[in-house]
Amino acid sequence: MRNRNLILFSLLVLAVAFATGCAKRGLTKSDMDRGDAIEAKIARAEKMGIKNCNPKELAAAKATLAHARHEAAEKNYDKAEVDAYFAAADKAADDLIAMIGPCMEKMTPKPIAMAAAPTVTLTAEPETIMKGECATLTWSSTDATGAEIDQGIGDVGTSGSRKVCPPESIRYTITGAGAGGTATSSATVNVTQVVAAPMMENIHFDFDQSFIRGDAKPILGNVAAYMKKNPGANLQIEGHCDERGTSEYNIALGQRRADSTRKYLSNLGIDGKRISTISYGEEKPADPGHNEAAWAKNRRAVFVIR
Amino acid sequence: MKRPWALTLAVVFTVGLAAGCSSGTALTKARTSFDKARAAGAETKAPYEYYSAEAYLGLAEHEKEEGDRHGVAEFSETSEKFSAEALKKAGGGAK
Repeated sequence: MRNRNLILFSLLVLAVAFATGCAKRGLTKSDMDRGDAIEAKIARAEKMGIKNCNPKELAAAKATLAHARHEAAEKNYDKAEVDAYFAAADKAADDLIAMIGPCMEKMTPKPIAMAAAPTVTLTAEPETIMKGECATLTWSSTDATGAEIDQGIGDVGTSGSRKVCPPESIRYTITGAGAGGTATSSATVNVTQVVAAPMMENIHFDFDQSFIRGDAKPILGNVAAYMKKNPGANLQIEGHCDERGTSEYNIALGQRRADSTRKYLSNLGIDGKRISTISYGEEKPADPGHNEAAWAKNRRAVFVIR
Repeated sequence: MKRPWALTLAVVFTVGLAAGCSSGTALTKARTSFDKARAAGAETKAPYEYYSAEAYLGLAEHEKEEGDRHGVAEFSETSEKFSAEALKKAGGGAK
């Protein structure tokens, strides 16, 4: 019986000792409020994603607060020490709040600047040349950092010009490249072979007239056909008169004959830009005679291929 | 006859105190867990958990210096918990 009491009493002592071995005082209302306020700050920072940016600082702030609460609950409560711990935790929480802005800026995806697509333009002038002649390539671009032209030309600047003398028709393509991609443009230089100009017949006019006679029309048809076959060829029309009349009058009459001839050819589809005119009046007779037969030969238009 | 009583009570009380606030091997276990997490690369793979484990381990060691067994036990346990999470996230858990 005595031993039983001893055992029971020992168990009671053991329980008391166990309880008091690590007994805590408990937090005061003031410390609880302080801790809750700091915890709210930390929670706010955590909600804003601070864990992704400053995990070390977040962990340290929480641990500092846990430490402050632990010390505040100790039996041997040291107010100054506890105040210092809470102050440290509060500062750590404030530091976290200050990190929210930079963190959000860092986490917000930056819009990707879309670079403008480049543009390039290539032209050839003239577009048609005779074999052995040259043309000029001219190019320009926007939003390109470099450009190259094929057909063996290679890298060129983003704008400029270059003389080319291709032996045959050729298509040039420029490729411009920039941050926004690439762009191309092409220009063709047509090269026409030199064809011996035929001996073109002259056409003739009635006395003091400049209209195209019926016998001249087949000749003009041949001239037009030649010009169409040879797009690189240009034509000069000379207007002539017989010796009758004043020189001034005949210069004007010769010009009217040349102009009416050009107009007729234009109507047959020949670009007027390819045709030039000149009047020699009575200065260059085909026949030096002074009779009707000679005068009829001299009232004429002469074709010169250039 | 009173002496054995007193001796018994003293022993029982001491044992009770020790058991009631024993940090035991808690700190050692916490250190071991933290070392495992660090070896698994948790600092970069699970930084929040890693730094939490490190911070609470530091508190546990501080409390040990202070002679606060309860603090050692409390913070060691928290540290070990974070180390386990960090290790798991770092892929260094039991395989």
